[in-house]
Amino acid sequence: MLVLVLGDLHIPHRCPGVPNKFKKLLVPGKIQHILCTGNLCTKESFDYLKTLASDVHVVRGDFEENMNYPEQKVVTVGQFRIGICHGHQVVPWGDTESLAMVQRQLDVDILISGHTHKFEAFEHESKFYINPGSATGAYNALDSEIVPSFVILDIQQSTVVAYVYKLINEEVKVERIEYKKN
Amino acid sequence: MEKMMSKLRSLSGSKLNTLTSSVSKATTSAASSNTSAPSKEDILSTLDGFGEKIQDPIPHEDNNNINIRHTSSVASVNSSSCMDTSASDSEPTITSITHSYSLEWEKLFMKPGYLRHLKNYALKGNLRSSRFRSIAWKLFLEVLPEESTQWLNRTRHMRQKYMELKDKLIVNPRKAVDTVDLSFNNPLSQEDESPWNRFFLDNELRLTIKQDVIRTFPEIQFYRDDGVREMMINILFCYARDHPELSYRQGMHELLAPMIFVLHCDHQAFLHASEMESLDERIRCVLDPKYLEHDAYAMFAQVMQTVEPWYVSKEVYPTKADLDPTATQPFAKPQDLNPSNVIVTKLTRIQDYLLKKADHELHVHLERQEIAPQIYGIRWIRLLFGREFPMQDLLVLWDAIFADSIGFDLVDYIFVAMLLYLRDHLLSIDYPSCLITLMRYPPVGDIHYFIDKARYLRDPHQFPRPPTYTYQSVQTAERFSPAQPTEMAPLKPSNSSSGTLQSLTRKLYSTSRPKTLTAPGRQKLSKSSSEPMNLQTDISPVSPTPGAVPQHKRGSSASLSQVEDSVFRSVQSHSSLGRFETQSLQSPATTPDNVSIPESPTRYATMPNRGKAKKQVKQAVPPSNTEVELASVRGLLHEKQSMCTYCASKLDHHIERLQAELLHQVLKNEDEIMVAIAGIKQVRDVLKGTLRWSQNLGNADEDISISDDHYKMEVASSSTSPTTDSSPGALDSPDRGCQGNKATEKRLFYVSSEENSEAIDSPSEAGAVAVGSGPINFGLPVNRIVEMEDLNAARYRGKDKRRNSPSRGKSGPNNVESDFSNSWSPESGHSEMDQSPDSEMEESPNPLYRIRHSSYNL
Repeated sequence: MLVLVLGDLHIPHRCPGVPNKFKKLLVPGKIQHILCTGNLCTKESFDYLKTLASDVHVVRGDFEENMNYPEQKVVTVGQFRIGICHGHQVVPWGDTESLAMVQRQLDVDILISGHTHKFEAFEHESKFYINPGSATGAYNALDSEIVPSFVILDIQQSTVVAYVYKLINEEVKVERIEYKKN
Repeated sequence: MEKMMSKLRSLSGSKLNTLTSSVSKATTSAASSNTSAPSKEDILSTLDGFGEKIQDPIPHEDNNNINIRHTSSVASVNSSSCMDTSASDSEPTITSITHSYSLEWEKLFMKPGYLRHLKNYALKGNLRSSRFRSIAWKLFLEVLPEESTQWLNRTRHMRQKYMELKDKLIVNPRKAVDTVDLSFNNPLSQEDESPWNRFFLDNELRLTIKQDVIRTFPEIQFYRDDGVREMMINILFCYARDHPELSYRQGMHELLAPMIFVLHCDHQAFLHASEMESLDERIRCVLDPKYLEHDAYAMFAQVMQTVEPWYVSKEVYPTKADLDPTATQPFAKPQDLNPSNVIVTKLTRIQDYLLKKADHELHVHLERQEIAPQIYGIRWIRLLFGREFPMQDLLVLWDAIFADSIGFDLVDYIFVAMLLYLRDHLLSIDYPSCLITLMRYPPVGDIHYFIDKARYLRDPHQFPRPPTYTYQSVQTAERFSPAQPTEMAPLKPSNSSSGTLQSLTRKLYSTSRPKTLTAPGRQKLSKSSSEPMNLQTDISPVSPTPGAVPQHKRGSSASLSQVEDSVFRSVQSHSSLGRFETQSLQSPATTPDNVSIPESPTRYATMPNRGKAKKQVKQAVPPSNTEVELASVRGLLHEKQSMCTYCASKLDHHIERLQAELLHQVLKNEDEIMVAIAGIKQVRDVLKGTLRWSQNLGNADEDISISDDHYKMEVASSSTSPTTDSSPGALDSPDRGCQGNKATEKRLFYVSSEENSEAIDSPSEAGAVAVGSGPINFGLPVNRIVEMEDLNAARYRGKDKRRNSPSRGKSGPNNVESDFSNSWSPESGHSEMDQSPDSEMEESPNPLYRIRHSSYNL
């Protein structure tokens, strides 16, 4: 089962849109679920995600037009409980220990967070943490050189394979990270 | 007990068949003297000697045919007894059923030069009950070589190949992690080499296949199994991937399905046999149930090799349109339909060359109607007639097709034979009806006819001409419409040809099947014949007036449930409140009627016929006008015909009730009762016309004229315009009446195709009224026999009262007559099905009915 993880689009405030190279990759029919870390900003962005898969989960970022999205959300895919949180509430931003608190709070196997606009994926205390970065490459509060990236999770029974798509020098690079639940 | 009844019936039926056909072959049969007309005693003896009779010495010289027919009629019903029979009958070299599994194996496959024998055997339809059909097919399809020592190797090799193919084709992108570059091997990659991309494309293909597979033979339980479905998807998928230029086309699944079924059946038999005895290693290997999928693929691939060109098509979305009969542009000319296809060329060749040679008249007719063969024929050929026949028959047909040659050469000729079978019917109907008939091929009693006929057509010098066997439809009568009364003369010859003993024998097979297509139960039957069926229950849906039922009603029977539904509703709307009471009133009185039946056929069929007809003709018709005279006579015949059928249907109904009742009770003298019922059924069959009424049955003084009359009536019935029979004043009445009637029918057709039962009902009435209100019908019915008038009047009053339709008040009983005949058409089928005695009761000349009826209504 394929799950698309992305967020921090900031369209149209910081970026005109998702890079074309990404758009070409993202075609309907392959992805079953979309988990979005927020800051879609406009309804149009949400509608675009809807065209890729019917099941879209969004949490609220700090620049959201739609204030009805929840702060945090837990989705169960296969055997995995996946928690989503934008991450601006977690200070220091992107800090492992702080995120681990959220993970314990939500009691999830995988915690997905954003806000830093920097891709990260690591295992901490046998839990998996993913930050998909910004799919548009929008600047963040501290940095303007952002690599656009998003993540595809291939979830099989007790294994998750994360495919990381990065746009480096107008080239899509793919990385592969495997995580096993014990 | 019901089972027993059905056995009795099928046995007596099959015995009859056997014997009549042996008579036709001029072989001397011990029992043939008393069997052309089976009496009560005959059935009794059949019942008594149920066990022994089977071993009766049936002549052995020329009995292949008999054997086939016999098996075909009974096979699905009582396999055990029939198996014994065929075993004792058939050639000593190859026995279709031997008690020992390995013995059969040896006889079929272990003799030198066995393949030739086997092919002959298959062409005669004797594989029907074989437990090694799949192996025979493999041999025919050259999946296995003739040399049986190589079977083991070949089989293993073949299975190995399929496994490799499957491994190669069914890719799992997650497994090939390290081998392929990540830039390809990721879920979103759209490169051709990407396993993920392949995976998604495959999934799409599988989904397409699955959509079709889950709809394969929905009426057969076997195909509902998930395992079977998965297997079919795998096979079709592997084939599609292995043949990318063709990929998957709709229809392939229906070619595959019967093969899996055959393999499965053989495996079951094998498993059963392996419990009983130790088997040869070759058998164990070839019939290993583990490798069903592998073997099915091998066979399917071989079949496809021949069939493939028929599936190739240059259209963008070819198969969807081909398979859905409604989507194949029914009004397109052949040249519009992409003439470059192989299949179209083939079909054109069949129609323009083979059919023209075999039957010029039919060819001209189809040409004139602009019925291109690809409209209906693409499906016939692509599926190898899979939709046209029930499974058991289909397998026999495939036996022959496969055995004949690997090129399936026989298909073309079977195609022609199928057209010829419908010949008389097709010639008599118009474009829409033709199309409907061809799209929904009517059920066939004897599949072997097509094989015999096809072989004869291909090589008339080498194979005997099979006896004429055409679709027994009373609608053929339409050709002899009253507008051309001169055609009265050819009536008889055309009847006698269809009335030969052979066709009669065949007809007897289908005695259980209703004669007209309109009865919805029939389609069900034709599909379900793969399962053991209870003939007893199948008899019921006989339309009471085959003659009066317009063939276009089939248009409305698009879906069974809908028709049944509409049937139900129309009957409801038609009948009065009192209908149920009538029924209950009637039932006790009619039961004794049933018992005293032996005299009834004479009474109903002959007495009114002879006496009245003459009288009426003399009185009513101006001597100068022979047309009117003929028309009126035919009207009478039609009347009698419907009366006969009515009686038959009544009998049918009550026999059913009797049986149902008997089932609940445990009686000492069950057999006696059953024999009595069998006798009654015979009478009913005589009335219905499915059993010929001959000398042995009745009194010597009346018999001949009766049987003649009977068939004449059958032919003349539907053509007869009801308005004409009693209108001496109007000279042009036959024409006009006919037109009116036809118009009504046409309207009916279009309305009924919308499956609106109310609408079916009303236009027929409206049409009838319209016809009735014409000047013709106000001519006084001078010629009406008083009794009939009375009857009509009573009926009319009853109807009027119940329906409160004022428009009918103006027209005389004459009009009612026409109204009635018209209303027969849409309702006749239903009222039977619904077993409502109400509408039919009116037709009965039985004074008892009349009195009861009229007193009831008043």
